[in-house]
Amino acid sequence: MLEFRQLTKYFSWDAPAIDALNFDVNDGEVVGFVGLNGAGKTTTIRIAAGVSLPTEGTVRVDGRDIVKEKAAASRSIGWVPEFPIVEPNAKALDLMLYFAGFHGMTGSEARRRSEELLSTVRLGEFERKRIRTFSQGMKKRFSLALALLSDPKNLVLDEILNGLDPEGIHYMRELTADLRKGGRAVLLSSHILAEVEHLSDRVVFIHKGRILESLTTEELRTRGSPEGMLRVGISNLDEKAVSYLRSFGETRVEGGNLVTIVRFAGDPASVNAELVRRGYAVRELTYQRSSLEEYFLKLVGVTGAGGDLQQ
Amino acid sequence: MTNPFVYDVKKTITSKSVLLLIAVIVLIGFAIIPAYTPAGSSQPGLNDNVFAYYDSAGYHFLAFTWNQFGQPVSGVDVQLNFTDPTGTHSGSAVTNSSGAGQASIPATANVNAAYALAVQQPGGYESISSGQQAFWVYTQNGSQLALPGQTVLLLGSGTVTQVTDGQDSSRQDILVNWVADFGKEPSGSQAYYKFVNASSDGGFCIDCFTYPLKNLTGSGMLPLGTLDSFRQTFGAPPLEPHLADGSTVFVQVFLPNGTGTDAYATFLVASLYPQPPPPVSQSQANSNAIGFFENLFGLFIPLVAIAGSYDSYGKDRVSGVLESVLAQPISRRSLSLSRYLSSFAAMAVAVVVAVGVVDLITFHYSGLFVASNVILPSTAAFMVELAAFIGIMMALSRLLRSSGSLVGLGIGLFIIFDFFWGFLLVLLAYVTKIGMGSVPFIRLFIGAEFLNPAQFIALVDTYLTHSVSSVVFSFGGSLIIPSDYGVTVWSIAATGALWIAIPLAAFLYLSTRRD
Repeated sequence: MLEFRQLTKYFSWDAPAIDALNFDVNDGEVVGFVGLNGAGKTTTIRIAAGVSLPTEGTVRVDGRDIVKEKAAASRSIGWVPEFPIVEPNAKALDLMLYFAGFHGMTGSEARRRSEELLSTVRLGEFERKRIRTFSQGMKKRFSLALALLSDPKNLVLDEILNGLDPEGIHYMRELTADLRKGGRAVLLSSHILAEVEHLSDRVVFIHKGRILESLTTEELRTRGSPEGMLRVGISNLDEKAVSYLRSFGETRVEGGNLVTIVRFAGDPASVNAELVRRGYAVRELTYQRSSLEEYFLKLVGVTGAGGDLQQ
Repeated sequence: MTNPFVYDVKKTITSKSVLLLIAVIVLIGFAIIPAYTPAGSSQPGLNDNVFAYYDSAGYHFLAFTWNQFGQPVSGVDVQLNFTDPTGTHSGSAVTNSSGAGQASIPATANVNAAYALAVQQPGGYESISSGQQAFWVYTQNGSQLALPGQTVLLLGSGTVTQVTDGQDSSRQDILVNWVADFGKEPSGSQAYYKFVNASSDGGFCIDCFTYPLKNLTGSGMLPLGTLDSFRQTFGAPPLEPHLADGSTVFVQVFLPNGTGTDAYATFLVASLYPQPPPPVSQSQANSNAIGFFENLFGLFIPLVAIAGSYDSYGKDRVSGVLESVLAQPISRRSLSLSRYLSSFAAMAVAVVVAVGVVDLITFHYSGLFVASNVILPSTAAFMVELAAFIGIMMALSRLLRSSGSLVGLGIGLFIIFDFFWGFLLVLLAYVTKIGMGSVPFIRLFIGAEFLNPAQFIALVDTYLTHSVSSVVFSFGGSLIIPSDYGVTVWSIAATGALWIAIPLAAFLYLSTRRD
């Protein structure tokens, strides 16, 4: 369990980077950490990982203060930084063995665990390669393997999805599910809000160094806008069909047979059934809705998707 | 490798820059060898002789050049001007691969002729000789004008000289360079020698009026060798026993018929038979080591510490690599201490090896190890310097966030503390009007040794040798009483402890209190 209490960090005296943050990440819970660039996500995560010192406040990892009981607290937390920087001239396996030494693993145990993890993050064939030859995505995967080395009960993942290919993102989905099942506490920051919404049990919104709100995914869906975007492709589209669809909201007709309802609040299945009943050939029906993005933008008072947010 | 400390030691000691510095410092250890190697007695450079004779065809000049080993030197230019009542005549000769050159001037023999010679090496060395009345020769019959065809030496090192043996520089040979009449090779002529014992024969000059000999017969001289060319080298004859100090060896060339020539020389036995250097005393071995440690080793230790600590900590700190380690279950203090100790251990091993090299070389050349009361304090002083500079650099790396500033500041510290420290003291003495070499200046100088970790070895040496030394200043070799200047075992130990503790404490404080 991760407990953040009155966590404050000043880099300069004029304004805090984070200001009196209070929130928890419970065991068996994946918490999404969402905010614009400079909101304080990385600062918070770095303090939790023990690599940065808070100006005030505490972070407790399974009850241990990350500053005062650093070694014991760090034993229970794994960290994946946004931009992993490790010894560039070391070989992947050697570095894993080096870090395993901090966890008191014996030679054979360290080797077995390291090889297993490198294989899991698809770096098994690169274990004898030097880190400097790795791509950013490979470094990210290597960093994930390092974070999992001691099978920690808590994980802080900073923009873990950045730099990962689709297969990597799929792996992360499975991993977070496994971690949740395993009772791990996971704090996950990302700009890919749809993924955060998909992976998280709860989302903590941070803006300008302050926590705006903390909502479960269910609460988010309730509070979020019920509207989404419905795209309907009809082979025999005519004015009557467009008129019917317009009854649900503002429409755009594209390419002669594709209609988009920009703010759709109804039931997509019912629309499909009615169109078929009226004799229209519906060849495509897509409904897109991101309650997280909508809610977040409302929360921070930003109109339209921010440059650093991806749906 | 699962022990992080051992990994850090390995990482430090195998980094390229540290390996390079270790190699440099071990190689520097070999620089003590010249302190135990006697220099050759022959002076390097050009030796030359210019002979001349005249006949009906004119004046003829023969030049010979050789180096300190008696080997021919080619390319030497001999310029000559010859003036007689008809005017000035010029000629030149360049020595060939045999170290010989020849020139002739078609002038009629004249008692009032004058010559001027200039011998010039390619490197610029030049020797000049001139004579107002050409070809006056000094023989056992007195000074007289040379006869037609009679070869005389106009300029040069001498007909019989001493050279260093080319194979064994501890031995000396005798080189005979002589030209027979009419410029011919002296084939068949022979060199003879005789030892003149200073005690039994009355000393060096007893035979000054006897030699050169007119005739070999009855001289008691022994054959050295037969000449078959213009220039020939003979090994020094077997040394006679029981010769008193100041004894000499007389060597003269005789014609085949036993007539003495004016090619002769007298050598001091002590010069021709250099004795092996006296065995190195323990105090000399100690003194050599102290000077070497302070003036050469001491210069590089701070550089090794600065480069090594940057490589093992500073670089990781500014690049962010250290954060990946800090995220592991280790406290900030433990990590900092681990990096500090691993860097120190790696470099301490290198310094101990280098000091060991110096000690082994000393033993190889002198049969003596440097005394433990020199080598142990000196090694301890190096350890203090290492620890101080590692601590300083690591503390600075907590304050600076770019490699450029950290490396720049490290180099700056090295330059100021090591190279320009003496000049800063001079400046300070100048500003405060303290006379150079005065007691206040020595006090300032020693006080500065307490304040500069790079000078800690000098402070220890001040205590060991009871003198102050500097590559910048000459203190006239005057001895001091160290305690008069506050240099005692306790003050040195306290200073060393502070130089270890303060930078380390600053580093640990900054590493636990500052991102």
